[in-house]
Amino acid sequence: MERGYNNRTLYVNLSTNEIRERPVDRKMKDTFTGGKGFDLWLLWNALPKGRVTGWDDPENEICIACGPLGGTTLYPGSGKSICVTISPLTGSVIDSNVGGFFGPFLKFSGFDALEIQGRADREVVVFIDGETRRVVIEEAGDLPADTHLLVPALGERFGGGNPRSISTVTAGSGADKSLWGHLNFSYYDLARKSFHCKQAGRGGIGTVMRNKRIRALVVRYPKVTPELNAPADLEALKTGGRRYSNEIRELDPKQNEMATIGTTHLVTIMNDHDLLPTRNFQYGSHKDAASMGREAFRKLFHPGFDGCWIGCSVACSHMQKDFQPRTGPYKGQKVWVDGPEYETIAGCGSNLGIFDPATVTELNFYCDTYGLDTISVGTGLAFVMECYERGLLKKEHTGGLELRFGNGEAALELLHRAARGEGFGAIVGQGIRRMKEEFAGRFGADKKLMEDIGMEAKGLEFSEYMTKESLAQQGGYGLALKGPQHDEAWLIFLDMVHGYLPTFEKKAEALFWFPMWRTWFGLNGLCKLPWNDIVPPENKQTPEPAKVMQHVEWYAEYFTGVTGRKVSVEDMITMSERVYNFQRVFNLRQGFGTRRHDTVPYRAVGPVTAEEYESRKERYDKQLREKGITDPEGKGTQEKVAALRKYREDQYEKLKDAVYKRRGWTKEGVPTLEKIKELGIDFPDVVELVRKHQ
Amino acid sequence: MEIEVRFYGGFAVAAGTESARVVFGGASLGALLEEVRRRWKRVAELLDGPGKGSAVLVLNGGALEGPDPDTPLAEGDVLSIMPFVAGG
Repeated sequence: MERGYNNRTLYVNLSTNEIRERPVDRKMKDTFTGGKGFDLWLLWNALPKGRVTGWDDPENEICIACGPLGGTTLYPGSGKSICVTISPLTGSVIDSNVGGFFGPFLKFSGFDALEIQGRADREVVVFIDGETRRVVIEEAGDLPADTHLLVPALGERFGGGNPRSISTVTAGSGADKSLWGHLNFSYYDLARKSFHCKQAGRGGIGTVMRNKRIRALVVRYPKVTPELNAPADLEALKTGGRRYSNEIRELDPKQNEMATIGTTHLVTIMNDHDLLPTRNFQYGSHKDAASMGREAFRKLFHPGFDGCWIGCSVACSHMQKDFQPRTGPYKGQKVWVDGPEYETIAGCGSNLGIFDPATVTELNFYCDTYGLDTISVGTGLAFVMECYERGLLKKEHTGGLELRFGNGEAALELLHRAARGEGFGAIVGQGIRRMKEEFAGRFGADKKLMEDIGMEAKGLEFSEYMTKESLAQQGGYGLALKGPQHDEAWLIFLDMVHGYLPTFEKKAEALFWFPMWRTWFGLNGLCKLPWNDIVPPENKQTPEPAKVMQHVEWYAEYFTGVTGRKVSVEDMITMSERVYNFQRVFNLRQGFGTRRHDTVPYRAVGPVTAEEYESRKERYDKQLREKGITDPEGKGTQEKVAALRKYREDQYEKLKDAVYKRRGWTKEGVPTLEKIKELGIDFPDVVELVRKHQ
Repeated sequence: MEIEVRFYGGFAVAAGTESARVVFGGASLGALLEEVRRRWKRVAELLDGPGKGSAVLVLNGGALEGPDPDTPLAEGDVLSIMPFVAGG
């Protein structure tokens, strides 16, 4: 290791059993930094030229990388892994970031990234022994499939009596049958003497893993020290890390209490600002929301220190002990449940009309152990429930399930069936985009209505924020490279509550800066939570409080402390811009990545139905009047819905224009040749591809 | 005047409640905050102490910049006191 880099990656081919190291050169580091950047570059070079690669083609890879700062134990939030593959849901490149010890252990074992290609002819485990740098592909044998059983079994088999020394990546039986498969990344909790997991949830990477017949990836690294990253300036890191950690310890209890209650504080905040998705994103609040908020989970979470990597003072990963599921194959057993976080509460709770923490916890548990993404499951089941309530689906279609909002038993049963790939559950487990086709084709459901209310874009299900009243966040979701996930830009409060983004230019600037800055965390193996979930005392007095610039500057120091490269904030944005534009071009290669793919369902933009309009009548009537759209007086609700829709869809298209311009893209949303050259990503095949779209 | 005040995050912990009706003399934000400080000492410490830069005041869904203590209030208004919210 030298200044955060090993200067080599690990390649494993499951079809040929080939295992080899690949060099990382200066150009690769300068252009792609690490983490997601390395993943994308490795995948780009691995896929066959001249054709679109399917997610289940053996040439597709799963790439996992940590980043040059990842694995640092002196700085909070420095243990993230970033996973990239061709997604079964979107058909294009997906990235998903996750905590747990795997990425740091992989790095300490000598590899800046891992790429796995091919498909095994039997169930396998890939084992990386970091002490000996021995990599083997082993038969899985009789290892169980579901994560809460599989990970302890892996601990027994590979831990050598020291379970803390290993970390695993697993999916689960549900990922065999559904396209919503996620990856569980484990860490061993010394105090509780048990394994716990964080999830790389989005885009079906777990499905790809199971398609490759990988039961688990295991890495072993027994002794972690602050020196392992071989930083350029260890003392500067110690000083900076101590300063950051002390600030978090002092201020988190006064701010969002993430070390105690995780992200559950968001439930009531979102609810009170009409932003908590309820009943498939129809409404933004519910009288019972507080029953699933911070106070409910404060009582349920098991006390303890819950960082998902060593040295993290945010420590937001909370869990429940001895939970007893009331349904499914593990009914009555006492299990640990890792979570829930806000997204799971909103997706598997309010969005399904469920306000019972026990049901949400059970959905959380089964999603995790089956290896299914709680966000896609929540948003997917919400769509099914609305289809059922509107009569698009009937009981004879659903295998007898009464899929009404609020029916937790039916939601759980549907999840079990989706995980088993059984009957109607098999259709549901393919995701909303395919459900719409199947429901229309098999059951004659109204396709146009489903296009409006099926909350997916680019094939990926929406994460759990209401965007109807925030044009900027519509862009935050719709213009995100991989699909509607909030990790690129969360602008709702800036837009709706603070009113910082009144013009298209301001919105476009935010939709440039925030996605670029947030991308930087994924290049370096970092978690974004310490940046802006705990803010410094004087933050409000700074010119742009939303950017939390004091922390941004600390990250520049951090990067210099590890790599020795002096960087400015602008330099860090440029690092991200290179990778961000490269990913956009990658989408083009897979047949996506143009203006029409940045479309969102109308439910994300405004009220689809008369009931939704009436629920916010005052707000919508006011907008019709003040924007000079039409005089609402004397008009019927459907007429007003139509007028508002025309206006809002036009606004969204104008937002696209402004954002593309700011990002240096054509009107079709394609990076210009000048932009590609300016960023130094003008590789011949990139230029050839981009030129076709100019 | 009587106004609903909602507390979030650390402010809710400090107040020991997530919402309260606050009766106060006057009709301005400054007068309301004076009563809030008097009634909840730990909230006052957060509003005036080392963490004050993270406090956000939101009136009827819109953040108050500054905020100006002369901001007029009316019956039915809702004031939220919360930390900086960054979302996901």
